[in-house]
Amino acid sequence: MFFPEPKKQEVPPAGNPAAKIAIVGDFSNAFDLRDGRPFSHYAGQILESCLHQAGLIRGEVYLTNVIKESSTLRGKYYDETRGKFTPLGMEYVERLRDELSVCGANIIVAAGAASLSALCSTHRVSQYRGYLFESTLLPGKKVIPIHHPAQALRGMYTYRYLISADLSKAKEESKFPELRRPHRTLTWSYSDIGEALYWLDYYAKQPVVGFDIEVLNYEVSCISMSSSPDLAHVFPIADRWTGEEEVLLWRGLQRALGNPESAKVAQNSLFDVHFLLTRCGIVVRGEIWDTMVAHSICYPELQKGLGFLGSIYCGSSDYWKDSVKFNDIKSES
Amino acid sequence: MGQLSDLVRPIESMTDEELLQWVIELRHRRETVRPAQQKHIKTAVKKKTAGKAHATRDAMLDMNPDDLKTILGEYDVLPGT
Repeated sequence: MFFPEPKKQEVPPAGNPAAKIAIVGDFSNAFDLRDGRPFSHYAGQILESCLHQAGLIRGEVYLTNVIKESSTLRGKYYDETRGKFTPLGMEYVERLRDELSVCGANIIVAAGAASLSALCSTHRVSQYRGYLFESTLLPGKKVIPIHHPAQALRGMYTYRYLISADLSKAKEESKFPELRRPHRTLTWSYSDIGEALYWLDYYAKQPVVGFDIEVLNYEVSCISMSSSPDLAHVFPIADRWTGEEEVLLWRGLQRALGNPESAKVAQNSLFDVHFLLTRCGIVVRGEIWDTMVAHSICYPELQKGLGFLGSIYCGSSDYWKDSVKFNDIKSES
Repeated sequence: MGQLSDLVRPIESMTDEELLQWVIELRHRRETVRPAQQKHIKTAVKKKTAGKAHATRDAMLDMNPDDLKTILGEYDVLPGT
């Protein structure tokens, strides 16, 4: 017998297309189809709760999904392992681009891995959530990834607080369309040892100095320092100086880190301070303000990594963890 | 510093000559590939694990060319692949 193919049932987007915030989910489901709108039922309740926490209501945002067809066979649209869309899925991605290009949103919230993969060509939501990116699908539009609200239902109860925090950031970013990064100056290349020593003596006089070490082959390869949000220096040690110059550099580092009057800020200072003392003979003096410990005291149930802290506390800074590798810059330094 | 001074010698207590000798030793340690790391490189290449391959590639960039040639001579692989 001939069975005609069932008619595609799609869930239309909801909300005002002129809204300043657009939230793009992954897949439509049977609940969305029943209610005739995206983010319905339990996941929708989580989303609404998080929106309220962020000072928003559902009516203020534009809601849509990448895959509008309600289907349990997600694999035919999106390969979750590789984070890539199939040809069938790419048709929906093209439709999403056309849909969002006429939308008036200043910021697009990518809720879930498939949504982020469509908008920014990456599926690593856990790594990139909370940071602002320029969309690869719609160049010029800014995107902020968040965990999909449905994930907060499946044991990851802390995700709802991250979703609320990210939606708060989206609300602030929705006030203007352009991607505004904080202006920061980072120096890692010096004309001579004198310039490096000048900056080390500068940091020796600052009341608060943040520092971090990088280790290569179980030896310190570089040390970074900063005393304000817009200025930082990286002092390379490996493969940069002559023996005599390196002696001067170590003396300068001891002066900068050994000042008992200044507070030292570090992430996981237990490792850095211990390593500098036992492997390098540098004594770090002054109060130690450990950002990892401070964050753990305030939010013991949340992650403590530096990438996570940056997503919460660093505003519209770009994601830096994969931007520079030491091997790429050591010849330049 | 107390008892820690028995284990650690701060560079503040070193003269410039002693510190230079320490830096020379430090530079040697930095350049030398440890036996455990050599074994790790061999294992990573054999297992073809992606995450360790990146670490292996980075370690290979820092290795002494003679050591690298010796290790790679045991396998039918080319650096950078």
